[in-house]
Amino acid sequence: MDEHLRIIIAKPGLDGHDRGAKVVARALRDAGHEVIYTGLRRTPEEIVRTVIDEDADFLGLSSLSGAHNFLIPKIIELLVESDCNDVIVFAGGIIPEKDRPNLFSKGVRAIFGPGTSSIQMSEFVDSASKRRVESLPVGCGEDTDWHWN
Amino acid sequence: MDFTKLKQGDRRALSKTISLVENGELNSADISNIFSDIELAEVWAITGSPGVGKSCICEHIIDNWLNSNQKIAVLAVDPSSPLSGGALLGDRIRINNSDNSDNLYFRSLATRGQSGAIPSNIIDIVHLLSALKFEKILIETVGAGQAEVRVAAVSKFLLLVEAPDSGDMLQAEKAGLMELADIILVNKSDLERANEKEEQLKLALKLSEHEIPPVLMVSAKEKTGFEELFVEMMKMPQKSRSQSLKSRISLSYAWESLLWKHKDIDTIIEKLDSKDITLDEALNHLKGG
Repeated sequence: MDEHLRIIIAKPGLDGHDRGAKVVARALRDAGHEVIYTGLRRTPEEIVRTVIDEDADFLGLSSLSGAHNFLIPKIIELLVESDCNDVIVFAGGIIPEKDRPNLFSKGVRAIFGPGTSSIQMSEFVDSASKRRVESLPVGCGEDTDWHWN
Repeated sequence: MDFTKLKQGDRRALSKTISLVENGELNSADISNIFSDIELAEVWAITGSPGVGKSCICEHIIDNWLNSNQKIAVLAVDPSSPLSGGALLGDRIRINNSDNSDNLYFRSLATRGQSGAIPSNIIDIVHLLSALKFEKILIETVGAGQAEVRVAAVSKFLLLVEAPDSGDMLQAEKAGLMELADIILVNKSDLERANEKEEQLKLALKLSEHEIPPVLMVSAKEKTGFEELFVEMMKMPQKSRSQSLKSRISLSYAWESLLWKHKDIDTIIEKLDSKDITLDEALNHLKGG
């Protein structure tokens, strides 16, 4: 994988709270990655276009509105349609435990809630990158049950 | 490498290829080998101190170009952290139309440790975009300091953005960029002191021996003054100012790009850090290799 990982932090849906997304963006920058933050209220189509244009290795989706069960699978579906199977998707925000297995099965590789430390995030990014280097499936459209947490 | 998809105009292939250029694995010469005839796109750079409103002005320029159905590319540059090597690329937050048109390709670039307002491979990226028949390219630079005139080197036209209270009159005069700007914008014209700024700039320019660029008042917030800007921008391809100065800067910029691409650059910097070699020895080595 490249020396510089490119990570997009995106806010799909209608909630207007991005303190968490900004903190995550900052933490990943401090871990040495190139982080692109999309700003609030992006549609799935806009997020996918951003992933394509920016040649992202990772896509982090922050949702606090409760629409994660719809929006996150929708984005992954569009990514796969656009030939972006290899992009590694993770999620954060308020995502209840009961919703997580379904999201993992759709291709999300980690879900971070409140209280996550920046070290945990970095560890996830490192292990997922390691899988990529070893040619193990890890992208959102690649066939694997692997997920970080 | 297979460049079939790239040649067909595939967006993802373009992004992947830009990454190759960014990582120094592909340069202008390689691109010229892939594409036969390359005509340089109309390249605009927009620069100015942090906070003067470059991104918001970009948004209006992009809208104007999109409305006339042109294929455009935007390269938004932000600094890499000198400590971690990471970067926070946030121009998409302020440029709201960055992701909603197929006619617009928008790419954020980090400076990746090179000094100055633009990464050294940006010339090659511009070359690639030109090969793919992008008609207009807009480069938004890091809020360039007064001596950072290299933005002029890669662009054909330079927009310099000023704002009321962004430094006193003397600072305006000593800024090298003023002599290279094709158009100077005073943003935030809705603020009280904007007229004063305009007067100061015009006065400073009058003292210069060069031809004077237009100074325009705009307000990105109120969206006023942009019609005049677009008219000036349309006129620009017929005239270009300060050409020899630009050529000189282009040359020194290209020279510096070579320096950063030198295979031994990292070892030389290490040796300089540990004082194993002198600056002269380092220079000689770089010139020899």
